[in-house]
Amino acid sequence: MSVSEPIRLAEQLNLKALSSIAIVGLGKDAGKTTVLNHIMRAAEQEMPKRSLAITSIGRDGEQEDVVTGNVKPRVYVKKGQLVATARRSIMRGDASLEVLSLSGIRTAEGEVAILRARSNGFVELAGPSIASDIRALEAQLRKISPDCLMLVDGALSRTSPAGGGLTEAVVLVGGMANASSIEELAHKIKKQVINLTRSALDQDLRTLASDAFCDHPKARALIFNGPGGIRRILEMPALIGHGEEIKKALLPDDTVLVLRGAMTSRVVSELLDSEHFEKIKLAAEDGTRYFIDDKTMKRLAERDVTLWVLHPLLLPLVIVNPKAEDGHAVDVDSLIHAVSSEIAVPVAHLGASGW
Amino acid sequence: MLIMSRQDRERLNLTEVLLACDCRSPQGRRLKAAHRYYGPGEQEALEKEFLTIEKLVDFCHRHPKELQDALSLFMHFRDLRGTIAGLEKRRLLDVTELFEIKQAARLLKKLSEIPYLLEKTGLTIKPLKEIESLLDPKGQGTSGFYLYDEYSEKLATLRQERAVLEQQMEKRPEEAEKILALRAEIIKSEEREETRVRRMLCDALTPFTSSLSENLETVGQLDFSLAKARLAIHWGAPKPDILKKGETIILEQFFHPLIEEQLIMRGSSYERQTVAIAKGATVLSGPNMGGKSVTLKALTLSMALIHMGYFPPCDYAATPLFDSVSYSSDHFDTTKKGLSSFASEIVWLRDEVARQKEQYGFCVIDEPCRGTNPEEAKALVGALCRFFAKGTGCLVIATHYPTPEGSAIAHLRIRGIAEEVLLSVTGGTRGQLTDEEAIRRIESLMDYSIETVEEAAPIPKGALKLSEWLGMDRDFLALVE
Repeated sequence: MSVSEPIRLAEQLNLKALSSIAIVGLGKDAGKTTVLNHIMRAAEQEMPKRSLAITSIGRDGEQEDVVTGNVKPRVYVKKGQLVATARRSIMRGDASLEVLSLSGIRTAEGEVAILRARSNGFVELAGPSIASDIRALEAQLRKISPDCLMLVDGALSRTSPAGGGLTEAVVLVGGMANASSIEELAHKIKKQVINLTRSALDQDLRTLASDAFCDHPKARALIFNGPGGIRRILEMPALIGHGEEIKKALLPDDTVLVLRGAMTSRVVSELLDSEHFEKIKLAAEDGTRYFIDDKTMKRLAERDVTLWVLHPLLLPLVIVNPKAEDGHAVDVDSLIHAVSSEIAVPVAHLGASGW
Repeated sequence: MLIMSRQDRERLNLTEVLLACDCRSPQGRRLKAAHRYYGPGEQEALEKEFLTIEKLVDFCHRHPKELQDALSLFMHFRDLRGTIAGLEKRRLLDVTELFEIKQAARLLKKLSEIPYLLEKTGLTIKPLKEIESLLDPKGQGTSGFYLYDEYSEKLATLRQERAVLEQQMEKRPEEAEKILALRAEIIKSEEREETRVRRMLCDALTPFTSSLSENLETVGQLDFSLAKARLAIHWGAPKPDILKKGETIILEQFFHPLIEEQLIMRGSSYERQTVAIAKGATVLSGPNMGGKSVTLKALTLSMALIHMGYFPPCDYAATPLFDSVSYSSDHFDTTKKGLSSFASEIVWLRDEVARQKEQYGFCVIDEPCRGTNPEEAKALVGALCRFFAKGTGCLVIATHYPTPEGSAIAHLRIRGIAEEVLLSVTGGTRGQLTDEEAIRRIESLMDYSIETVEEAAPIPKGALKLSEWLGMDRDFLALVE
């Protein structure tokens, strides 16, 4: 399937049943923004009366990539749709936008404004980069339009959340710009799909963990020592560089370790130095927070450490983009075949570009 | 002005106490943070502020629904100083700034319409009808803002042309590239026209900047005074009476809200106190653990709050206005600045004495010269009392040193614990009591009320008994001569 077939895309994503969806890319120029445009068009056709609210994690939708200088596709909104973007980004689009409210959420591009498109047109998205701000923004958007479909142009980054855990579903986009061969892309997508679809801990543990993080906003690690409850709550500014503290807090009877933040190879390696870090469930907030290399994964398996999440994600579709950075495209069928043979999630390819 | 070091301000818990004064608007928060001090020359302004708070206390009691309406409106005000300054400098505002001005005008109108709120407060909010109609050209009362078609026929036409092209683009996607190029031309013209419209709006708004600023200033005052009124209700605080220079300060049943709260939380009680402080020196004595420091903190807090325009935490307050309220409680941690504790204290006293020669001040010192040899400390404390006795201001000190008698030197005493009671308790065994329980036992027997003593009271004793009760080593105590 090509994602430019709107009805099938809407069905595949089950847009009618979703309240929010994030689009995350494997890397730069994966084709995330084009996919966002396609999903918007699909939602408009499938649910003409339902309003859409669009935002991003960090800055996106600008005409040129601020890092590479490449011309990028832009986000095209239709009259009536809601947009949440930073004040300085408003003038960089060409849609006529009505300012509905100012959110109080600050970004490098200024405060995030909530706007309604009074005409069709292109917009530059620069949304919040902190998970709690995205949640606050969604609450504000739902005050204006309670049943809107929120679309988040996400990012897979160590420093910011992807929208996973913040949105109900995630669409993963991987392009030939992110790999040197079809096989490499298929492998990268497989790894990411495994992370994004990791199973959730038992509901009781998830409730306890969510309450603990709510009561202790600075908490980064929760240690459970059985079904009974949380044995330790560790507050620290970040996970990176604080592995020692977590390591020292671990005891032989501990059963689950929940970490809030980016679960990188370095963080996990620090934990692997502890003899008590074995036969334990290690959980991240959601599947977008895992950044563990193959070597470290192997060490985890040797210690019987299994990986889990607090918030499970729906991953209804993986989208592949045959276009490489230099503009040439690989054979679509070969690409889809290679990726499909690695994962159980449906795969579609990025068809004709939207506007 | 308030004269106290950062450490002493912290010891007084002034900032923490004022956290309970909950301003909702940025204008109100800014006024609160300015810590305005009302000296003798500003009695009229202070009386006016107190009257406003009194009216607002009444408003809060009588009109809880309107109070909630006002509080939720304050939360939506924004700091518009940058935007207003931009207008005055002919900077071209963007749509979000124009939105903020529209929102402010709407909020001001709503605030002015809340019944009873502004009655008799002496504050007025003038709705800015011109701004409202300028930024809501269709008169629909909408809260959002954009560059409406009504501002320019040309803009409306360009937008229509663009919409037609966009429809064509949807119908004939194969021609998208060509249509997008045509659209880009229209967008350029549209942007030029939008800039012209923004310029026109900014020019039309500029004459109203001063009335907008004044209104927002009033919002700040109202928010701040209302926050003070709610705090007064929370504390049960009365409107203070302002007396003439030299008259006797009266504080009835005054208390330190934070310390009271902490004591109640740990299951103890806090005894509120009453005091009259005439001009000259007032010496407060009392046994160890008698609460002298807490008394001085609560007293200073009330005096500072009155001078900052708050109703103080007490049942009744009357005071003249002083040029300064000074407080000094400890110089032992000033060694970090490279001064010995003695030098630090003497420098503080030197400045205070110089200030008292020029000004009408209220000065509180907790155990002056406590780190000095007793003979000389006694002499210095005596001199301090005599100095203030000759002047017009007020000194309140707590001390264990003997102090001189004389006119304008008053002696107050915290009643404390009767010697026989102390002996009966401390004579027995502590049993299984923890340190904290032992301390609480003493506290529960302590009478914290203040009495006036006609002459220098005998120095309260009991330190040795208390040391024994608190578990001091018996061999050590045997060495006490």
